[in-house]
Amino acid sequence: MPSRREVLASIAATGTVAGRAQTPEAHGHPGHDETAGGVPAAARPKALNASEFETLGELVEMIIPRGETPGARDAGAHLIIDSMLASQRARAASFRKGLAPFLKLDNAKRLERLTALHAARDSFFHTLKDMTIDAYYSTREGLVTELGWSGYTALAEFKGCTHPEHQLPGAKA
Amino acid sequence: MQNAAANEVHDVVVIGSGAAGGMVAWNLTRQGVNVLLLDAGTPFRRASFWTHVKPWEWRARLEAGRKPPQFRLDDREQPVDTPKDKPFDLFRVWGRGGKTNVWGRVSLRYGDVDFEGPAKDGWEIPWPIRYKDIAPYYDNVDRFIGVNGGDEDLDVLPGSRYHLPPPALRCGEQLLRKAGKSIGIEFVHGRRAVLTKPHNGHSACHYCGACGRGCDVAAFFNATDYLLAPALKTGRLKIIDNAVAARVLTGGDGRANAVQYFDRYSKAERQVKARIVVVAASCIDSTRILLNSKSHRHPNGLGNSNDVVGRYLIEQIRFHMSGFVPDLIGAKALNDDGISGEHMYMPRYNHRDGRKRDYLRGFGMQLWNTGAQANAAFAKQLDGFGLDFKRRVKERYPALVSLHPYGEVLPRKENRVVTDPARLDRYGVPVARIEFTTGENERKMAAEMYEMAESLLRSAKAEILPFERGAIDTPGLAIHEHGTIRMGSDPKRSVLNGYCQMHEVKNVFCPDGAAFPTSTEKNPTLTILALAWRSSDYLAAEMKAGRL
Repeated sequence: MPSRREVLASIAATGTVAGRAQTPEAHGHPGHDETAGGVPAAARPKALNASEFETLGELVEMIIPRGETPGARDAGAHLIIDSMLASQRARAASFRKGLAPFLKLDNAKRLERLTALHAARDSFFHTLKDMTIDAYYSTREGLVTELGWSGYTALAEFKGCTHPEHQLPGAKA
Repeated sequence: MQNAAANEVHDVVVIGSGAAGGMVAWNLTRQGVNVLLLDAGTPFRRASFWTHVKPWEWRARLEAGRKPPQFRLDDREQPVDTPKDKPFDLFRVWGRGGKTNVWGRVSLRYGDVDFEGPAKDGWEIPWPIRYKDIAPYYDNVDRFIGVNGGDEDLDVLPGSRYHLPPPALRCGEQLLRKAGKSIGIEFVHGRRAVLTKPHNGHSACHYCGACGRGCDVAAFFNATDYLLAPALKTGRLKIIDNAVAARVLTGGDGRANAVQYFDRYSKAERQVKARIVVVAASCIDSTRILLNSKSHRHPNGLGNSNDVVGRYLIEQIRFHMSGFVPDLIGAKALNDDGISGEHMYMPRYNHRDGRKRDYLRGFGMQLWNTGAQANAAFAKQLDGFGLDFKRRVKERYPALVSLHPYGEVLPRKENRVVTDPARLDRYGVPVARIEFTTGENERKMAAEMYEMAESLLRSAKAEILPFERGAIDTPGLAIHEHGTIRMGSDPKRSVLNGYCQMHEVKNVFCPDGAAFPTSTEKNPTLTILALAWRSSDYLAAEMKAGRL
């Protein structure tokens, strides 16, 4: 259901990516996005205070930095994480505890500490990394701009693999 | 309508509107039989599905206070008990069409390897039917609902003359097929109830890949659009919404004569009179209804003087293994959505390679989540962070291949559903308690499933993501529960005959997944539809002959 069970859960994990002629208007499905990406100017954290939120922005950017494409902070990953924490009080408390030692550090020291936590397989590091991954790769910046996803879109046909070198010799497509 | 219906005796009362209940309602009404159907919920409106909503839009909608359709029944509304050390993750949908709104659409025929399996290996009872009995009904169902697939015809996976064209394979699937060939593992085209061209008035798939949220154009089979809509058009089907069935009531002669239900929200108790009752509320809930239907004549529950109802619960074992195929690492990501889920399938092979196994039965494999997905959850299993990490995620994104082997679980008497008079739901009716665990046979089979999956990925030279050898999903997650109201030739060891008719109470039929005496390694919905069609043909004929 998968997807199934994919499952049949309401957030089915199937998607895809870009790169071929598509007809987003086919079947009358509008192809426009409902929301703009990035951090809204007026965004305010709900679970974290201003200093924690600023620090989180720096940390998510260290995990997935801006390169040729937007980084996690550009994409508002810290805002998404804050929002996730706002609905999970117990998780928020332990997350803030993990965040606390970073608050007073400058960015060079933060990177140093993050590197040490990674080397030590620290649980806060993994929580932070996992949440950053979930957040960033669910934004338009992370999923479309960075990875090239173009799914959940109505297409007139599905061509599948057209690379001769991938085919089983002698098999029907 | 409920008041007016109180004294009316309905020809047939059907409990449940999913694959089984929907099929019975459709097949009976088109043959002139009047049907009253009890649905524990209400219709799901396709126009309100969040089918194409992108991940960031989904989040914005939630933050704006909107809610997607709630297909899955919340366990807090209707509890299911399990022992602490034996979890069972039950997925239920109350409402029109049931689980067919969001099912996986895998449509595989069972063969005589499955129907006769127990007779050959001696473990529990065989099916009372053979492939020749059900084959015409598989044909009927394929033609009616539309199933895409190839022309392969195997003993474990009989072919069909009626398949719609299969979708093209994705790059990752092509590469796995090639890798499999080199180590003797054969794949076939997937068989899925997704319309690759318009069919019987239903729209074709538009390859948006978001089937798991419900299809906005009904391009895959669901009981609401394909069965109940035409049944309602006949004028012979009535549906009562929010009718949570509790018990089948019987008369002094022991025959069923009514169904007791509760209004889902007002909790008012109501009864509808029936000449024939069809229990199709899905495996666990159908079982619960029969066990709770105790009376002077049926002190152990309906049809259960042999203590078989509720026993022999079977599901399937399943796990997941993923990796990245080197030919696609660093490739440009494509739109891999297709019909969502796999476009090819690995049929069971362990019965024909000549090697003797230390376990019974077999396994097959699905490949959903192969190719570019709407997330990059795999990145959590890649080491490191920073720009180099970001680059490695992007390179691997198009190269993801995912293996999901499914294995048969043996029926065992002690794996069961019971109801406890001390543990009541909000209507005062005993809830179901599921006691299920897997055993030695499953452990041995899982070991070979792991070997197979790993060698396939190695043959593809894939970079394999970390896995815990031998681990299997929490039972219930395959959503393939069976066995607790099983059919069989011997009334001492089974509850139903081959037409899903109760041995002990002839005017009760149970044509859902609970009727399967074995789970097989395959997905059951196509077989539920075929059995329910056959069962209701028999029901209509018996009714017309005055034998019910």
